[in-house]
Amino acid sequence: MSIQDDDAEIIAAARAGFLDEAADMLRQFEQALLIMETAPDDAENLNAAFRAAHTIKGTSGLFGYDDVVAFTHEVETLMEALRAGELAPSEPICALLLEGLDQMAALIDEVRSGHADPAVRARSVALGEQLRALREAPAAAVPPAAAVPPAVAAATVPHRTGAGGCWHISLRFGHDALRNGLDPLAFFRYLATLGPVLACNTLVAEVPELGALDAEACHLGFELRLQTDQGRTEIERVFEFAVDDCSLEILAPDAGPAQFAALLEQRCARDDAASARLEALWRGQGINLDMPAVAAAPAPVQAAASATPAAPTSVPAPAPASPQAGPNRRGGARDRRAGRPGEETRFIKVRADKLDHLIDLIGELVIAGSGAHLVATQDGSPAFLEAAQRVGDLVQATRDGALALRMVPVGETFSRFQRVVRDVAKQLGKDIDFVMTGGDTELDKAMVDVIADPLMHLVRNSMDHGLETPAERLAAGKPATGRLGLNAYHEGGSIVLEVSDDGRGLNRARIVAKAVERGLVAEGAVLSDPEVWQLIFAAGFSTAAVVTDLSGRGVGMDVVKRNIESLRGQISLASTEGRGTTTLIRLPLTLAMIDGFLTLVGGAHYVLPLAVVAECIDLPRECREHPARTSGTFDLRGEVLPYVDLARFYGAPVTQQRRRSLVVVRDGTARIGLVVDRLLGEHQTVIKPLAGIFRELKALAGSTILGSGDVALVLDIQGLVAEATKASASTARPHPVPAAAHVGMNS
Amino acid sequence: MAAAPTLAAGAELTIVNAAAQQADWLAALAGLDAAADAGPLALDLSAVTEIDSAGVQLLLALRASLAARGRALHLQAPGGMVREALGTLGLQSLFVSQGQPQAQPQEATA
Repeated sequence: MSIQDDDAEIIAAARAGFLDEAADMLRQFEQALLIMETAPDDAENLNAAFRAAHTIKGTSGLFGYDDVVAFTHEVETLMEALRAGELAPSEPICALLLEGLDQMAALIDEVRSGHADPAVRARSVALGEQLRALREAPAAAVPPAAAVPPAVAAATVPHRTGAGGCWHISLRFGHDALRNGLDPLAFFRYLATLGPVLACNTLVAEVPELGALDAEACHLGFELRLQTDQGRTEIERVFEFAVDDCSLEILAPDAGPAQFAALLEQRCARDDAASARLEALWRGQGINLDMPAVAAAPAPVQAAASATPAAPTSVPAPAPASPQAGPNRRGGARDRRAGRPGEETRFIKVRADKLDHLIDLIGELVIAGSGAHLVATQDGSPAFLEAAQRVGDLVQATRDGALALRMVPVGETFSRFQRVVRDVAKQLGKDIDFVMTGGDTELDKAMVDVIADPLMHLVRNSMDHGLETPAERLAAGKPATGRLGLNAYHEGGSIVLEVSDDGRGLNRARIVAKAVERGLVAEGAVLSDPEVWQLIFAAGFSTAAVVTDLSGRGVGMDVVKRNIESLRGQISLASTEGRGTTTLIRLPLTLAMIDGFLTLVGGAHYVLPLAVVAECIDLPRECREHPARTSGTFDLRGEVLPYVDLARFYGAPVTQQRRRSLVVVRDGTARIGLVVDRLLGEHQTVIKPLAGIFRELKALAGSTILGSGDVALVLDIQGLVAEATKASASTARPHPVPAAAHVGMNS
Repeated sequence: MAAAPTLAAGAELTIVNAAAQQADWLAALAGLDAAADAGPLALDLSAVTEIDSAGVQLLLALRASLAARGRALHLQAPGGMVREALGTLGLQSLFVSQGQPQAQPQEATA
């Protein structure tokens, strides 16, 4: 392989990392901008927004993606103005920055795809001009100086002066700087691109004699004077790669004797000789070190300081520190900022296929463990049994730990919605308060992507059809601002996602009428509320009088339901007319393993997900009376439920066992009974996908291997019910199936 | 100037060779001490093709050692790279170059 190929490979790998990081930074930037809209004084948030944009510009520069750099520079400069308090984050500014963010995303997309669209470029130019225009217009209200950390303001005001001021840079390189590959010479050459280096003094006296020198260690310190119209950030950026191996102190052009005194203390504390040398060096550089008679000691924050270049007395003493004076207006229990940088959460990036491999191995371990347990039981030796038990416990813990690795907080998905809700609310002219809770609830990574679209559809439904306009709400006696809630929590062995709104709710009468019109329901049939809501999931069903851009075409809800069911989940609705609607999505915690209930049917093993099992009873009278039927109904404590005889259903030989059983399982809101030969108890199963030839079978979710080595088939309840109702519909039935149960099964 | 005793620097005055160069010079210095000369020591830099901060640091250390013995260090025949490096770090006026015109000082207000 040639060197060019190696290089290309390295660059391609690095590019993937760049795109990853850029996506992350864009998300952070967007979130910060959204927070900025509601909390414009949050200084920490402004910093975070700036940092995100700055990082994107920096790394794009490293890779030479000049289009991204050029445009992001405009955004970053506007952010810098906001951060420094020169502009206030007004509505037009926030809106323009969000547009800027979208443009940055578009430019990065071009990097990903490799195509350059002239329209995108034109937009960069147009938006860039608008961003610049906003910056130059001081008409935007400037917040009172007291709200702005003076040190930050003092540092950035000189940024605006024409020829640029003279900055002081004090550097002490660390002992290992040279060993780590840094070369101060290289940094200074680069620094000179910012402007003329008026003076550079090496601290010659700090270098030991040749005999005492560690030739590979770094004993070098420097004091420089740089004339530039760039800001502190640009200067810091020059030394970005040295930041771990050096101590960098930058004093702004208006720094006074007090600040130099502080720096002197920092550099040469307790070393009088070094102190004297450094002072002499500075004087030699033309710096005025004479402190005025009135010492500036613990200087109170002076609002005037932010506007005037230093008259020495008015500069606060600890110059390099920048206190966070911005008032933090974030109250409330909302968890919008969960997981932002600042919280010290450490992560390791792991390749997905390695994780999958680990989960596979754990799966095998689970199976092997139960095999060992089986042998131990048969063997009868108590010592062996105890050992097998211990191993089993550990395997269980490892399984749980490994599965937890695949879990990601659902809040990450939730936060993507903020932007959409904001944009759509504006588009519809509705006032919507978007409340997200339970963002810490964790969900299997494989599900997160699948669930995003259905959730989005439900959110749009709520916004479009559920929530009324402010006028309508006030007329109905509700507050003008509608509430859209997104909640997540664990319950039993599942995760529950809730989309709720306090809008107009579902119109029961209209839904029933539509269902009758479509022949889904018999005229005059008696339906419970849950059954009515389930009708919405029928394909092509929509009661919307007007089909809008967003929804109402009736192609959504059945797709949503199918998506949820493909994850072995359930979806249900609850609504009160005039008060609102809540949609509940219930999902299993993981797709890889389930706690199962093992049964024997016609000599073959079948596993039911434990979560759907409601109860087990002896074979009911009705089933015993009609042993030849594949399905029918039975009475469960006064309730009539349908049942399926699994042996007959799967065409297995029906054993003439005396005591067959019936397992009642839940399918959404309905329950059905499954007749099995024997109940074999709980069994933890690792689900393995079925081979291609079995994919046509709707009722199976997969297969698994038992400890004994036998293969068991995992049942998919929804599929089973669907198949069973198809089968029973095609055969003549002596007993009519009651409408209620029928409708339940059709959903 | 009278011909001063000379030390020489290798082609690469960088971190890669720093330790080796240091050892060389220390050995040479020990020999020179025996000669009890009080004049300036010339360092022949004509062979130097590469220099980095570690190299400059060596020069500074050598100068300090000589100063401790009451002697000066003269840089002999420094190439463009050496002069540029010294200039960037503001050291051009620290070392008197022998046999070459003074490099344009980068402005040290000493």
